[in-house]
Order: sequence, then structure tokens, then C-alpha cells
Amino acid sequence: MISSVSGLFRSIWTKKGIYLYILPTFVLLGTFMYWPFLLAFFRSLFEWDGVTTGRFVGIGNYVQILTDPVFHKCMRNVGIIFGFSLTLPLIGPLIAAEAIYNLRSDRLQRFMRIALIIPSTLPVIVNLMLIQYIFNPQVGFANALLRVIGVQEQTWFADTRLALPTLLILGAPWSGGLWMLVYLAGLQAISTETIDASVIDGANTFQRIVYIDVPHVVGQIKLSLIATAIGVLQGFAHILVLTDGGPYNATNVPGLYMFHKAFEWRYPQMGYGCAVGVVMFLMIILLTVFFMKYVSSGTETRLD
Amino acid sequence: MEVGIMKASGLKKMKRPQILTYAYFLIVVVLTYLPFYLMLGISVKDVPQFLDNRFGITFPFHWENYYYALLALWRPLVISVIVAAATICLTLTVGSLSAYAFARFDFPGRKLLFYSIIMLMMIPGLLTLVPRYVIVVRVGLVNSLGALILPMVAGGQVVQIFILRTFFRQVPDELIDACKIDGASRFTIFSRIMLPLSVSILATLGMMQLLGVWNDFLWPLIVINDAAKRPLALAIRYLSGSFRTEWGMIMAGYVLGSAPTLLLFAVATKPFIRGMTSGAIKV
Repeated sequence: MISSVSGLFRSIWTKKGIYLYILPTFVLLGTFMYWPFLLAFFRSLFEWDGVTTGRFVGIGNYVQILTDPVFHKCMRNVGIIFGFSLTLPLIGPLIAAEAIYNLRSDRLQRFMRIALIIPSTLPVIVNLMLIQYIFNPQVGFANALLRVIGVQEQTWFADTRLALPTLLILGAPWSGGLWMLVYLAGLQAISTETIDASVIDGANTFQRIVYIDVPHVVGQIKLSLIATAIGVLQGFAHILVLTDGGPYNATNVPGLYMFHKAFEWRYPQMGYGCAVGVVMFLMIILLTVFFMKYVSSGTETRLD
Repeated sequence: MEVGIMKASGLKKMKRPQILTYAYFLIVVVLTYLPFYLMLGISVKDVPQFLDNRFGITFPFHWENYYYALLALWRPLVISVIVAAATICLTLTVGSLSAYAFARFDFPGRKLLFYSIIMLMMIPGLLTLVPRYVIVVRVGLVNSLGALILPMVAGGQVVQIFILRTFFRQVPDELIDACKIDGASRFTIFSRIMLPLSVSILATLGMMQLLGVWNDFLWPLIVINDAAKRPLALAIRYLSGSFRTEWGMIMAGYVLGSAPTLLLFAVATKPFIRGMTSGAIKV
């Protein structure tokens, strides 16, 4: 026992040079990843402003979160956003990729592919600010369009009924971006023999899409599903910019709820914010495990 | 190149749905480029032109909007370039050093340490956001460029170590042994063999990191209170506040703010796209 321990130390000592290679990594990870990770759980049990020692409140923060009607509203909103993200935002990029894939000329294919991703090369914040302008009630494009077709003008993000639907349709036409690229790469990897065989068997384009193309990109769809789910549960930066969760929490989501509690200027509730983070962490882990299990087993049966 | 072979077979060519496809593209392109068009069109209007004809093209073009926008944005642009360059260099250095150690050497605790890094990919940023801010305050980084750079390096290296380790492992042992016989040290093998062999993957990873840093505005919003230290994304966010109803200048600012990534996309399309998609796949 003693000899194995001293042997361990000796072998660490002889290889001390190698540890220098991983030292910077662990200094950074320790400071900005492991420490905050542990601190999040620990401080979620405190009433804490981030500066003072704080006051231990046990599971008080969690009780307060789970009974807060605002948090319920946030969960409801995130549920709606999640439900919607499984529709057009999920299949839109696939439709776009399929449309490009079906173009006859190579040059046109390459051109459309580039054309559809150019807008997503703009900084995210620029795209958001442009959306904010388009839905500006006074000088925006959306109301000008309504005026032309003779429909009552709207206040969009300032309207409790319209704010969330407006937020949902932002991504229209859901055609560009990286998922389109991912699907297109998947489609272009289908072998010529497979496609030719389907044509000889008399399959039309629609049949080919359903029986060949889609099963070939099921892996990518699954990936997109998981990424979307995690992204929706976590993401709030765009909502912060566009509506700040308002009006009256109509567009508030858990991440933004956490942000507001923790970074409230006069009365920062960092401990409470940590507790919201832990709640969301558990939900994300559960959802990931659920998807990995459920969706992957579904894939295998489909491909066979 | 595979596409070319597929096309040459000719069998794939189908007729009817082409019209449907073109109709689809028409709608998609109009919707996709509408914000783009509005941004460019309005960016050369003065206030009377904006109030008079917002959505059409008006003459003369008021290029001075770009001058005023540049005055507001040059400083944030410089800051963003510094932050992005520093983040990319540091992440690639730190990440590749670690990946090299994990890929080519055996040392006590290797597995445990490696899994303790990979595990971090499962931890959502939302959980660590608040405590990370507190730590940045504690170590005295708040309101400095270090607050923008170091946490990004810490987070960004995780995926890089994961990808680069696999890559470094594929370097043939014979090559390494030959170098050892020639008297090359561990570090020489790293800097002269490993890094030059992985230039293309390093470029992809760097691009991925660049897009992440360039697009992030939540973290700068939290750690930078000083208006003089705002990076580009944050400055763009507040442009409408400083120009108020001068929509021409605001839009000119958005155009200028988009220029760096657009230019990069134009000159390095392939690495750019690769960086984008590997960012998606990392989840």
C-alpha cells in the first residue's frame, strides 16, 4: 500500500513536465468553471447579494421559486416557445436544405446555399435590432404593411396578447443558418447508387424525400432537436433585448427571470438566482437524458 | 466533388417539383433579405427622407451617416478585435497544449482529469452565469477586458481539447518516434509536428471561437458597465439610444457593425461555414 502510494508519487514526479502542459487549462477551468459550478449549488441555499457572507435559508429559495406565480408564467411561456420550436423552426431548415438539394444545377445549388446563410453571418445583435425596428409601432415595416392592406395597426412587442406570438415568428422563414447547412451536408452524403436505385424503382421526388432523404438525416434531426430543446430552456438574451420579458411577463422565461433577480441593481438576489440556475440545470439534464434515450431508440427502429 | 458525380449520373434529374422549388426560394429570399434591404436603404437617408419615404430608395445618398456611425463605433470595434484576437490565441494555445498531453502521454490521473474536462460540456451556461459574475468581481476583473477574455478562454477550450485530442492521436507513432530519435524534445514535437499538421482544424476551431465571442452580448452586458469599454455587440445594442430618431445613422451603424463578419465570410467562406457548423454540433 505504502509502496504503491510512494510509487504513484514517484511516477507523478518523473512526469512533472507533462503536468505543465495541462496546468493553464486547469487554472482557468478551476476559476471560471468548477468554482462557479460548486458555488451555484452552495449559494442557492443562501439569501445572498454576492458581496456579503449572506444568510443561510436552506431550501427557502427553491420553495419561493416553485411557488412564485411569475416563475409559473415563465415556465408556461418557455413551454409554448418549446412547443412551437418543434414545428416550423425544426423542419424549416430541412425544407430549405431539401429545396437546395433538388435544384438541378450545381452552381445554383452553391449560390442558394450561400444566399441563405449570408443573413446569419451578421452579428446576432444586428439581426435583433433589425427585428426590433421592423416591429417598431411608429416607424416600423410591419405596421406600414398592415396600413397598406388596410388592417388595424398593432403595437407588437408592447401588446400582452401579441408579444409572445411576435417573438415566435421572428425566425421566419426558418430557412437559413447552420441547421440548413448541416442537413444539406447530410443529404449530399447520400450515395448516388441509392438515389439512382430509387429512380429506377419508379419513386417520385416526394417518395424519395420521405423514404430516402429523411431517414438519412434522422441523426441530424435528432441533434437539432436536442440542441433546440437545450437552447430554448437556456436562451434569453434575445428576449432581454426585444421585450425584457414584458409586457407584464408576457414573454418572460426562466433564464430572464434569473437574470432579473440576480442582477437587479438595488437589491441583487444572487443566491436566489443561483437557485433558479440549479432548477433549470436539473430540467436540462432530465430533458437531455429523456431525449437521448427516447429519440435514439426511435431512430434505430426507423432506420431498420 | 461528390455532388459532381451525382449530377453526372443524370438519373437524379427530376422535372415537376422544380417550379415549386423556385416559388419557395422566391418567398424565402424576399423574407430573408427584407431586413437586409431595409438596413442598407435606410442607412443612406437623412431624417426628412426617412419620414417621407422610408422603404423606397431616395436620392441623394447621405454617406455622412456612415461617418457619424463610425465615430460612435470605432472604439468598440477596436475593443472587439482585441478581445477576439486575444481570446482565440489564448484558447488555441491552452487548448492545444492540454490536448497534446492527453493525446500523447500517459501520466497518473490522465483519465480522471480528461473526463473532468469533458463533463463540463454537459453543464449549461445558465447554471454558472451568476456565480461566474461574482467570481469575476472577486478577482477584480469586472469592467476590464480580462473579464471578456479569460472566462471565454476557460469555456472555449473544453470543446477544443475534446476535438484536438482525437486529432493529435491520429498522428502516426512512427513519425513521432523518428523525431525522438533525431533528438526532438516534447515541446519541439508539439510545435514543429503537431501544430503544423493540424492547421486546418485549428482554423476551424479559431473561427468557431471567433463567432462565439463576436456574437455574445449577454456576458459583456453583465461585466462591462463602463461605456468606454463596450465591445461592438454592446455598442450596437445602445446605438438607437444615442442617435434617437436619426434612423439613417442607426442603420449605418448596423451596416458597419456587420461589415467585419461579412468581409470575413467573403474572404474565408469555407472555414467560416465549418466554424459555424461545428459550433452547432458541439451543443
